Amino acid sequence: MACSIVASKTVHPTPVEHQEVELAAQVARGNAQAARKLYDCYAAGLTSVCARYISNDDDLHDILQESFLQIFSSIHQFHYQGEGSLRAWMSRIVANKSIDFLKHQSRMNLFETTDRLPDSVSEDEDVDVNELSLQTLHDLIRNLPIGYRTVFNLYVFEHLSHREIASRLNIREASSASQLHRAKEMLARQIKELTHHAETGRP
Amino acid sequence: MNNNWTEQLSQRMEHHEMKVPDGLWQDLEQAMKQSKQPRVTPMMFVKRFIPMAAALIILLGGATLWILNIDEGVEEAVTAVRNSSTSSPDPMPQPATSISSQQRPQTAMAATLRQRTTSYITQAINEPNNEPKNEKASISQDAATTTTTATPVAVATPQQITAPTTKQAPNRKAMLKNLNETASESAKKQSGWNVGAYAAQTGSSSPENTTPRLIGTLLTQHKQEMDLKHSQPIRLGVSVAYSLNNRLSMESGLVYTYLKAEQNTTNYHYQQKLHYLGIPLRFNYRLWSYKNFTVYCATGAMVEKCLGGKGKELFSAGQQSEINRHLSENRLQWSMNLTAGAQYNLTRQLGLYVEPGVSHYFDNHSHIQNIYKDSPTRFNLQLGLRFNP
Repeated sequence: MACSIVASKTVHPTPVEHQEVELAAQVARGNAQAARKLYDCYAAGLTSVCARYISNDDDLHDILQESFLQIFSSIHQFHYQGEGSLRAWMSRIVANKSIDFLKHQSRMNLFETTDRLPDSVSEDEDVDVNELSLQTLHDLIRNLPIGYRTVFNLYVFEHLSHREIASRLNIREASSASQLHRAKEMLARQIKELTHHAETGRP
Repeated sequence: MNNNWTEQLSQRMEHHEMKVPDGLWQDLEQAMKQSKQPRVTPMMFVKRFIPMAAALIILLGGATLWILNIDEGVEEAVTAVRNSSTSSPDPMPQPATSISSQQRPQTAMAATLRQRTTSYITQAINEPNNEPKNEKASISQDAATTTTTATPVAVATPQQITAPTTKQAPNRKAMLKNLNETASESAKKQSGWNVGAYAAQTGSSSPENTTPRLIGTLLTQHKQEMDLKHSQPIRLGVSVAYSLNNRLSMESGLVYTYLKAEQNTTNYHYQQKLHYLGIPLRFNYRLWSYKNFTVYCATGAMVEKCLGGKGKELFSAGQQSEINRHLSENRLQWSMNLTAGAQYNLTRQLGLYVEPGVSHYFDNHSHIQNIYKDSPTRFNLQLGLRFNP
């Protein structure tokens, strides 16, 4: 197997195609070692996904546990659709569990009123996301206000449309677009600031 | 295309990994062994009942404590003046009208907040000068000078804000209007103002300093709770009561409530203000009285409508930008409350009462976060003076 059990700081190599299929099939058959393997390969990546939605570390444990239970119990419904599709399928489950949690906790402050979006130059300019570390980028996303962050995550990482996001979060489509716009604006600005300062070497 | 960078971001972040929460696999194994149908963990919901259970305990404890410590309490309490109908000589104020202010006593804070509250009190007194004739206070000045407020509010720490709801008590100042059924000499009795003001919680606003040199602060930001911090509600109301029989009376009126909330992080500041108008309906029942002492209970409901509000966002990454938006909510806000009360008549005309109670706000699925959503079941402790002319 390509995936090996290593310390959490190391990036686990994604199992290649046929191994993904095989692994999923084994887990579906109830193979305990396969389940453990699946966990070892993907838990760290899924924790990253969950943390993008949930800013409180204490909640991560519960949500990830629910997510994995869901993954194991419905793995037989997973249809392989190409490389990375297993990871995407699992990420979607984590995203859904996170949103259910946020909705239940009523922690999302989503504005229904939509404002006329001002012309925002900063968003459209090229933003270089390659200069900053993954951890920094992750933290920036995690720091966004919760309404913006949720819509941003669903749109950019889960590739949902505004209509789908609107129906998932019970908001209007225009609200979703507005939230995304603000999120991108805020994130773009922060990335540029950090990149610029890193380059100019200012303390 | 402006979507390029988000697409790149998405691809990069696929490789990001984070430390897995401790003990996750062990707990997972255990859950799987139980082979229960996975669903949202009950523990998440249990936490919600803790505030309610604590509210009941504090309700009983608080009532006992206050009744026993009335003298100390007066120093700290906001006074309310009630005017009662005079149809019966019974000193029990069938709570005809209520000006009251509900607060949680907190002696430690009293001194520091005295200054602030005095100014609020002056403000409140000056307001009614514009009001129509029949609503002037007769006791206002006296009430103001003798009252001090212990405004606990959740000024102290962020942890307090997000603590269980039992520790928070909404504050209500109301104006009094009395209708005398028996049409005695004074058709409309005036009663005093309750100048129960309290300082709204403001918290600390984030410094405008957002230079990325604070990258260290930024990176640890995510560990903080990112929720809105809600201030104590401020209430102002008018109420009228009719006594139905010797023990029972019915009370209604109009209540205005002001809700404020804030959120502060390094680069982002949000402030929200909401205005509500509500109609309460309450039944008061006198349980028992002996000499100067009366015990009663009351139950009621209220429906509130959001009149509107404002949300203001301030982004401070690099340049500053500010966005103001108008908030609106068409859904009604229903709530119900249960209070118990005890009153001790200091003189023939003046009674001191304490009313611990619990209110519950029904979720109306509004998208606007307010304190009713944040802590729907809230404990109130209301103290006041009831005036019987």
